[in-house]
Amino acid sequence: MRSPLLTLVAGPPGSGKTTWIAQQLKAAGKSAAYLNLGAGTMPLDGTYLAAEFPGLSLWDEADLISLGSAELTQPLYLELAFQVDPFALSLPGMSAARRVAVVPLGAMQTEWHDWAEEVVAGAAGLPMVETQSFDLWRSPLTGQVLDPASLDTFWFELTHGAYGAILRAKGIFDVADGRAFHFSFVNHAAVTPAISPDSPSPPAEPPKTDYTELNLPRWLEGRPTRFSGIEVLGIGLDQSAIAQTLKDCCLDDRAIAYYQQQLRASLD
Amino acid sequence: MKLAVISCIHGNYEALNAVLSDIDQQKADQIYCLGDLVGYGPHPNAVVEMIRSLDIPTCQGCWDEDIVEGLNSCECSYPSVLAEKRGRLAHEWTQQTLHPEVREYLAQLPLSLRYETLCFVHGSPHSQHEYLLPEMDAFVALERVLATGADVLFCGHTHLPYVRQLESGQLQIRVQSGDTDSAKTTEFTAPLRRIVNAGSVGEPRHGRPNATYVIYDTDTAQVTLREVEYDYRKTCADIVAKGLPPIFAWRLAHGLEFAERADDPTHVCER
Repeated sequence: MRSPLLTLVAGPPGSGKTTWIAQQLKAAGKSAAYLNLGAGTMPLDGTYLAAEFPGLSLWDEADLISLGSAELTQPLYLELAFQVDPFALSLPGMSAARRVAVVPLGAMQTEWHDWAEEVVAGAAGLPMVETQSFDLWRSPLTGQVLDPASLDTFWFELTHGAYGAILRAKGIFDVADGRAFHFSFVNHAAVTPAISPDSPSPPAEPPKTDYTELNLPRWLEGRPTRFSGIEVLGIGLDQSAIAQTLKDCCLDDRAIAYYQQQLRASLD
Repeated sequence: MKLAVISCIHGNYEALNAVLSDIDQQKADQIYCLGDLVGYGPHPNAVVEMIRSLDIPTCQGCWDEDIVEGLNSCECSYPSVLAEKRGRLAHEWTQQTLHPEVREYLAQLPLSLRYETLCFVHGSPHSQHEYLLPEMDAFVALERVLATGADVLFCGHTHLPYVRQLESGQLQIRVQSGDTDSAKTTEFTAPLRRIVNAGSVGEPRHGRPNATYVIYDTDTAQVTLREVEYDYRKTCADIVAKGLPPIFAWRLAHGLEFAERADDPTHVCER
């Protein structure tokens, strides 16, 4: 029986690819490796998984070259970001890989069904959309510490259409008390136009964000060096306004030092 | 006699116009304004000129005071760093936009107004910056009304209209003088007092862009909360056109505060 150590995971944005991988990691309970192909310098999903599964090895895209020259010694989950065409993908050892598509619950025959040997039902109600027509905006936030109340306001505005119609948004943020949080938003309703003064009525179902405090030690000295960042997929994104609002949520050096001093004193 | 009480116009000329039309239709005899004529909105000068031209008795709001004194809002009003930055932007924009005669008008506004057993303030009798939230401690709320000697205290500042009845309050005062162990105790029941919050004309925080104000009937003591629709899209367009943060337009359309918000009913402003 074929039991490939290499698993390719593909599917539309927000369908639950990372969640499915996390379920496999938890079920297996042994060391594994992970790479999000297409994440580039924004390892959001990798950072989230590594925090939840401390034994997880994170690969770079440069590490893929070793696939052809050495046997894998542990399971490798290769998550294909939505913008990566699984049909066009060519990797050493790919022919023996397990191909899993995570698609929205109830989705009928899709391109992912044609590609995968195993189809998993993911998030319910996610619309199948032509993602090529969407804007993708990303920004690293490494070194930034955010005021939690400001972050709440920004995230509410973002996910309720103040900066464009959002299909998917996720981020890892370091906040004033030293903790790091993973935010994950998927617009499960039908994709709606940007909420604007011409569309005052609220959507029928409120958007939903999953918040996870990452299993990481509090950062209590200076600016964090661990990765944090945000990725937004939507229509008509006001990218400069998003960037400016995020910047306005960040604490300056003096405020960071003050909060950290208070925290250290309280923890002592 | 029917009194209309408006508050917190915040430079929203379209909303003020609509409210004044509604007051006409309600056949109010007199209008009182609880301040915050300027701040956040795109037409501070036009709003003040309208209020002046109609000779509407007005007390000074926290924003009016801040514009005159060159100060920014009380720190306890800002729930976040982001809100504080937005508030500062609005303050700087208003400072640059305001005509000198408008600034002079705001400077001479009284801190409170009185009509028979009614008192009108912006925040509270103690400060333009103090929020009288509907869920604040009843004793503290009663103290605020008793401090004015009025039966009904009209206030704004929170941008959320409400009516609060304070009745059957049992008060006990114990006075110990000198070194003696004895003390004099007096008890009394506080008569009915009310706090009426007029909400906001120009910067609603109730989830809809509509303006709110109140009508008070001095004969029946009935309070009517009025909600008035207006062309908020025009105000939104003017916000953007005048160079105010565009996010203010989005927040107005959704009936959300632009920056300041009172969260803590137990907080006492010490400014």
